[in-house]
Amino acid sequence: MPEPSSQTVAAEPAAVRRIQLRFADGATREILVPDDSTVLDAARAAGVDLVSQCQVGTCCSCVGRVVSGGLEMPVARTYPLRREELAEGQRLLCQSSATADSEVALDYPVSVIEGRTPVRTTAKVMAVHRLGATAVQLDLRLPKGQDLAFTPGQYARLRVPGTEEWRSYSMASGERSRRKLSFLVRLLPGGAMSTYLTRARPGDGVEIEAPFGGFVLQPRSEPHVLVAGGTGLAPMLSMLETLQLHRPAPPILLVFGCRRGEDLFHLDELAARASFMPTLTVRVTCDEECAEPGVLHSDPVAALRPEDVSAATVGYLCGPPGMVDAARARLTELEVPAARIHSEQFLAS
Amino acid sequence: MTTQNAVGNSFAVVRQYAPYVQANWGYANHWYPALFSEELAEDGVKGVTIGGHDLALRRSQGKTYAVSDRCVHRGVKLSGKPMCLADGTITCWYHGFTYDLSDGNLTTIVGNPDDALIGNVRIRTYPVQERNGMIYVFVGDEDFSPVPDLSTDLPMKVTDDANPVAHLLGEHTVVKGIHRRLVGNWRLAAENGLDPGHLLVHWDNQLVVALDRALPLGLQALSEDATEMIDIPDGPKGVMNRYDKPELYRPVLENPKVNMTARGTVPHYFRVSLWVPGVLMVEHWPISNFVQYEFYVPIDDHHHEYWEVIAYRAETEEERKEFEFKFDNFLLPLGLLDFNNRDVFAREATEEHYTRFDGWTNEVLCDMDFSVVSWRKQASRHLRGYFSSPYHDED
Repeated sequence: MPEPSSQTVAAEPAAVRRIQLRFADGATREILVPDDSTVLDAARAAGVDLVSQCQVGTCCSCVGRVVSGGLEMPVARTYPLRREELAEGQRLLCQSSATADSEVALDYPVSVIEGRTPVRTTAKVMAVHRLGATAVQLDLRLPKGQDLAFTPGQYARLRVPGTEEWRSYSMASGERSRRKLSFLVRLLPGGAMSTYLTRARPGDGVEIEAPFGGFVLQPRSEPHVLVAGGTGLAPMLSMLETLQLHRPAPPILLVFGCRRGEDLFHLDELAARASFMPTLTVRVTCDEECAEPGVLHSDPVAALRPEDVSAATVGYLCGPPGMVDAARARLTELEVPAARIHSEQFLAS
Repeated sequence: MTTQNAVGNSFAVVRQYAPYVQANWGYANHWYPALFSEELAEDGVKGVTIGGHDLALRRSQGKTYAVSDRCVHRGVKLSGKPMCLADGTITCWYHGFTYDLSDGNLTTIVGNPDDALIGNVRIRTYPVQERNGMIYVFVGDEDFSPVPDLSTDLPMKVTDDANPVAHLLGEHTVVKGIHRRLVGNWRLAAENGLDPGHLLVHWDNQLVVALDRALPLGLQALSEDATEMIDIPDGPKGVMNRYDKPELYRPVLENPKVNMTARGTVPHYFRVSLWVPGVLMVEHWPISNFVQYEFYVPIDDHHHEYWEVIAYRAETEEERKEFEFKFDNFLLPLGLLDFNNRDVFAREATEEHYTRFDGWTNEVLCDMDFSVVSWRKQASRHLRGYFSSPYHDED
């Protein structure tokens, strides 16, 4: 083997690392990552289109966990990963390069990315229903021939009609319903979507792109704890439709809370679900005192009791960041392993 | 915008049994009868459709198989023109694609035995069981596992009766019956079978008149126990009208407003129950010690295969022959045909409203329907999946 001459140092070929991607369902994909590429880019080049959104290190949707080997992210900036998450090996794949042959675990099944190329089309508004004081249910219908296959928990991007603004909302409808989609929208004074919804009419066209997101249900028979704040109820409704058919039926606790009594919605819907899902328990909370019968004066996290969880519990959390963080901390305190806590937080915009 | 609460998927009047109302095409991942054993001769092929699944049934060397009734090549039905050239296989009549019945693999193509497809493509196979003269198939998602026991999708074995009727899987059970394709959604058929309020349509049936049977005009439930919800762990799930407990019902014998009085003088005990995924059991019907089972097997969202089956416990050859004689000359013509034809008429008449005018949210249920509502709730808790339209681009 010839000695490299000193002149060739700058032209040294890029090293290539072998990365094993391990999905939540046990599926694996192997990719080669040159050291001048991010893991995400190398995966895409290899035809493995991992879940991602922002691709600039801010949204956290491309997160993976290093099981062995090493992935490195540029230093001297902050990421939406907490110190302890970094310590347990979590990395943003859109920012990471590989320093060694590695195994990386992803917290979603491979079905989320395979055979699920996002659909982009124009849907029609079927109905707009006001739910409580600050939420709306928006029902859309996709055109004939545009079936949307998605996994409960995933979301769609909707373009606010008449604007260039796009907003993301989780499907509240079940995965069986591939052309009629429901979304829950939190109303914000002056918000682009909120403003549109005041004048929305059945038949309006709404551009939609879906599905996205790695917050996906992996149905199991172990006990499920679903914690939802406000319109964070949407993915839970979609998940319940799938869990309803899962056998053996998992025990499910759904804790749903809103800040004020007048914000609460879907209480009858949840009562109906519980009536035909014998293993579902629903607990509704309200931060303020509220006249609605059966509603606990509490926030959803404080309503989680030690007896609600066991070592086998699986958690799904969706709501404002503060609630999701608090719920994660509470489940962790109650000894639910981090790998079984799935969460999605949203900022109203 | 007005504030509304009832807008979820499980809303309004159907909220307590939304999964049932959503099951237009029927419940997937359950066992359904496909054929009577005597309908499938050795080397025979028959096509049936259950919940949108087209199945080809074939008997080869005594064993029964069910495979998808679509050739992978151009999609024609294998049962369209049955062709079986070798044991344990089924051949498509069009281009000779030949499949192994046990795993569905393409084993050869008659005119092109070296084709690259051979060994690389397959048609789907379905679990089959043949018991006491009936062939059952488990239809639904290909990856549904484990396949539940057949007994979980049949009416329970009756034990609380001095002379319990024959169970479909019972050791000495003999079965005879008919099945026919009818217009109407499977749920309307099932509900008609259970409905304690539809005695009026049977008012002048030959069976009832000939036996001078005391048939009330109606039955009024006196307590919610009148219809029992039965949930046997790892077993059948259903509802039962407890006609064995007369204290729970008040028979209506006359209605002076229409000058009508119940006919008949001979009391007759029977009991009706309905089981997921849509199987009726009428104990001691059409006559004591016999039992009538009915299956309402969904074909698509507007048709069902109506199965009328009489079962009896026959321990000897003489008993079996006597059962067959009674079936041919009494139970079939007076029971399954004359009596049940009234039910057929009623269901086909109901279908129109439920199809065209969204009957599920435009019906006005009365007292007598407590039993039907109990069934809907029970059926909403125990489905294993939904059949959906296999048609491209259909809503």
